[in-house]
Amino acid sequence: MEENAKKKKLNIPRLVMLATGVLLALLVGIFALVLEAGKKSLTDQTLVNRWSDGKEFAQISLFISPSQYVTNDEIGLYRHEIESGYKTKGMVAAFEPETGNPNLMDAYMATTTMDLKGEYGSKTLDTFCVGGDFFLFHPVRLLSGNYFSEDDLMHDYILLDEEAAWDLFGGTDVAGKKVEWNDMELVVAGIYRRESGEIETLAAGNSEPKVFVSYDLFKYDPAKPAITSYELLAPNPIKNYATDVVNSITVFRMMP
Amino acid sequence: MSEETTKVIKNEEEGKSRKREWIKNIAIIFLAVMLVLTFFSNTIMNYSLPQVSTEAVTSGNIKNQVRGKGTIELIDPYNVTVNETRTISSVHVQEGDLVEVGDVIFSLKGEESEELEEARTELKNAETEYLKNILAGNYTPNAGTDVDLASIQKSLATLDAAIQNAENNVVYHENLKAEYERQLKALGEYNNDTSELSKQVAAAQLDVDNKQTAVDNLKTQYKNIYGGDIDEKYIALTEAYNAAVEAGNTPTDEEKMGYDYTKALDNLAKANKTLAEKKYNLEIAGYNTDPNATKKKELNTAITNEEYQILIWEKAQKDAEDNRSEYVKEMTGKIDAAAASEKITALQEKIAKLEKDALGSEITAPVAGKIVSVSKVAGESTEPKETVCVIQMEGKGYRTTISVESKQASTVRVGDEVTIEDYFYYGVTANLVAIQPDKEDPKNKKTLVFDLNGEDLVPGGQISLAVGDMNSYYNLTVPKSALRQDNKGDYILILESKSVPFGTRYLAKRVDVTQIYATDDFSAAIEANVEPWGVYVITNATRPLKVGEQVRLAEEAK
Repeated sequence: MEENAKKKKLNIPRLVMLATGVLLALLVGIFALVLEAGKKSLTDQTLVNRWSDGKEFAQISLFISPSQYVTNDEIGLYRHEIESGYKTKGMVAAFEPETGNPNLMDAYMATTTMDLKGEYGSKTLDTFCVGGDFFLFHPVRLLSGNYFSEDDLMHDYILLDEEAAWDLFGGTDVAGKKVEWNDMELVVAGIYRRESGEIETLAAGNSEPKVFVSYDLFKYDPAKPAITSYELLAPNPIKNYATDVVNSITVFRMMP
Repeated sequence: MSEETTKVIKNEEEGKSRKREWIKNIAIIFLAVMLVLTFFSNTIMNYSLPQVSTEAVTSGNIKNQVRGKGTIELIDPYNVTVNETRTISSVHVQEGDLVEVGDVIFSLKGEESEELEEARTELKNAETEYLKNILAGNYTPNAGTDVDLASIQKSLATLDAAIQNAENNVVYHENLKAEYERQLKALGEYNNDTSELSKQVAAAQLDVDNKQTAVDNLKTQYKNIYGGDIDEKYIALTEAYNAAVEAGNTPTDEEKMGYDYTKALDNLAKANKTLAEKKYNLEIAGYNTDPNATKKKELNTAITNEEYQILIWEKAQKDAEDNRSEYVKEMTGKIDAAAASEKITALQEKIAKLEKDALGSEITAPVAGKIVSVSKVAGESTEPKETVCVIQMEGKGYRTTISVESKQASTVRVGDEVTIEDYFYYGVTANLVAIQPDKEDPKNKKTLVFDLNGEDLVPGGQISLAVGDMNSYYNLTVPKSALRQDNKGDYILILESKSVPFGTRYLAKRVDVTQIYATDDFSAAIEANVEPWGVYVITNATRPLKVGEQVRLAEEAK
């Protein structure tokens, strides 16, 4: 009788240890998920790995003071100087065999504000004016539509974040719609979701809605915004090769 | 067995029992954990996979368009202008009305314009002024073509030369006279001062000469007018003149001339007599004994002659100056008269033109077409050369232009299909008719010229157009967001599915893109080793994907 009573009585310590074990297992699973999620925030600096496993290319970033007033005219000069720098150095491994030119990718950005008007409302929005292969360097999470590129025929595209899309159109499925700006109509290329990353720190750093437009929109504007960052993905067949090329260029050496 | 031994054995058995209890517990916990992980492993793994959205690869058209916004303009608008200042009394048309040639657009107050009235008043004033100046002798009428600057300058030069010549001679003779007087003075004073007498002789001589000139002039004048010698007739003419005067009749011009000639001869005789007296007085004065009398007499004679010459040349100088003044006055009169005459002629022509072009009481449509704008209302006044109305002529439509980059312009051709992007221009069509260099930036830009046709077009309005080649069909088209790039070139990631127990696994498979033919806003036509049906391409992902990486569909996550 006593033994049966003992058996029927709950083994509390065992239950406690069982619950602890289950909890630990769940924590392991959650930790694994968090680890995976953390990978997303590092895309800004992983282009070189995405491009070439990081072995043959180097990514160089230049941050430019607005007082220097660098515009797309200077970008053309930079590209020419960098290509000339590589040709001067003459290392064959840095050149594409098909074209005989170095495989260079770059991106640049300026910031401004734009007064935009959509079908639903109007808003003044922080704007990133980008050029080159900007979205290759800084892919944002597209919810719909697509990126625009410097190589596109038209330069009147705009990429809205979710909040900007709601403010202007009352919805987010608005790729292809038109936004009015300064008597021009910009075509919504896509909608993206804002996530924290270096792109946020490049701008004002606040949590206001932000949009992307092509810097070529201001090509013929006498008051075009000043470019504040220039990034380069360049061949780096040996250690510090790309850095040496950039440092040898006068226009970069003279930058404060 | 002792109690202690029994106790020890019992303790040993309890110890073994507790150890077995711990091992059992650990085993149970381990199995429970494995069970939990086994049940949730798939869920955990799924949540760690990147989510992707996909679209089917397809085939279709790529609309490679150039877009822009332009201002609607009329092609060759007809601006109805007026050249008069008139007051509008009523407006008979409004925007959008169709008019034919001759249809009344505006009614005007009065018959004549302000400009015509003013011109008539100005002409009257000019004619009055002209007549006044002729009466006052300021103008020389019928100047004809006498007013010639070259001839005036030539005449003035001649007159000035005569003045200068006379002046020079005056100076010359004054200098001679001074020399003679100096010589006379050097001979010493003598009581007998005859200079005054010499002057009197010279003056008398001059008078004689003037009187003689008057006689000669009358003689010449008579000969020119009546022929013959007046010397033979003047006596008779004088008698006839006196008889007429005594009878109270008006003598004839010839008789008067004869009388004047008689008087002139009398005057001449008197002057000669006076001269003789003066000479005698002078001569007598010279009879006084003076050792230098002869010399002095000669010098006095010479002085007298010089004084005479001085008087002659001073008169000649005065006559030349008077001639010049008369000439200037005459020429001024001719010039002023010519100018006044031209002004009057111009005013007459202006009035004739105004009368010819007078609007009358209405402004009518000079061409047929549609009224596009009316810029006046009743009660307003028109200004000369002001546009009061714009008519879109029949057969002429609307036009707009868009400035684009040269690179964009190179993708379109005249005749390409044009799309109106504004929904409210229903029924409006457009055609690309020309591609021209941009006037402001001919190096980098071009102007696309479009002809517009439709009912709802309003000049000055904005219209959005897109033009481009929309007839290009491609076998393989993907969303632009599916195109990716790395150092090996362009590629797309397609969704590869594999059936596994309890479900399907999806993998991102790389397919190289060998060529991108064309892109538009959202699609791209490519060449790749993939079938244009049944294949799904990855467009977006929650994070960058690696080739071959397992993914999950966005719908599955929901």
